[in-house]
Amino acid sequence: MIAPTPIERAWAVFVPRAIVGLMFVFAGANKVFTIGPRAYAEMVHEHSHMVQFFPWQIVDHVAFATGFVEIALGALLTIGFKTRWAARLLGGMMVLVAAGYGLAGLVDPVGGVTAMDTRAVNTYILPRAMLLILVLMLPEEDDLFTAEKLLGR
Amino acid sequence: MLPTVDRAWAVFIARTILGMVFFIGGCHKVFTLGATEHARLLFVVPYADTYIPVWSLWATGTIVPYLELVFGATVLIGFRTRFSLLVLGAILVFVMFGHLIRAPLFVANGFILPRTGLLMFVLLMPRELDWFSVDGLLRARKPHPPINPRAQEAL
Repeated sequence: MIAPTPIERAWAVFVPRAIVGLMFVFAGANKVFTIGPRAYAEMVHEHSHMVQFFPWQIVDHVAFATGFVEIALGALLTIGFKTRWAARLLGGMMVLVAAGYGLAGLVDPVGGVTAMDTRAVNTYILPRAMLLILVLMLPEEDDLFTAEKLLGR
Repeated sequence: MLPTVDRAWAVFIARTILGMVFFIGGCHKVFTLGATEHARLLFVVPYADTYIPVWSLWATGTIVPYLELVFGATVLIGFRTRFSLLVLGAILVFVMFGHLIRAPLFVANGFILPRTGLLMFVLLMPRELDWFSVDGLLRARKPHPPINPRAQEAL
């Protein structure tokens, strides 16, 4: 049995890392530059039912910041700087997003008997979560194509 | 598999999302829809013309929401995770069976397969990797057995 070479293993880490990083960068860019952070916060305020569970000030501020956070952490993940921290934080964010959709599903069960919005879970949460899980599971030392390695850290 | 904080985090992400999906579904079925109505709407009415006994449709249709609620919660917090995953896995197989009776070419992409993927991942990971859980906390608090009992006695 021939083991994968270091370049093959590095590529196996780089591809999911770059894909999920870009997903977050573009999702964040859409919130910040297309929709606008204020308009996005208003959308979340109006439609997400979060104000039924949390103070509206917290909901508005978190929604306002979400796009910027996604761009920043997604960029770190894509270029490969403080990769593990970025992946952990984005993973935690996915858990919180899932919780948000869960609470919204209890108020307005758009997902039918599953309550949670199935489309959001299957097309937004799970693909990102799966890619982040993959990045976190793979050995850090295999991740050669990173800005940190390039800078010699 | 070498335990690292990243792998523990990966297991935490998968386990909590999986637990949340089942727990929220269970909450909705038990507290909003009602277990009896769930049984009538999704089990008894659609399958009344099949070979499945009606009493079993009522029984399973009423019990499944409570199982999802309880074991979704235990997976969410990471308590008795392994056993809970076995129960949730059985529910997934059972639900798949039900769908296939009505639609032999049923596509499981929307509900069953994503949950199966997460469940398989958590189940296949060593339990020692699940640091951020109630089970992990209880494991950490257990006293470690002496490496060499005879050496301990000599001391």
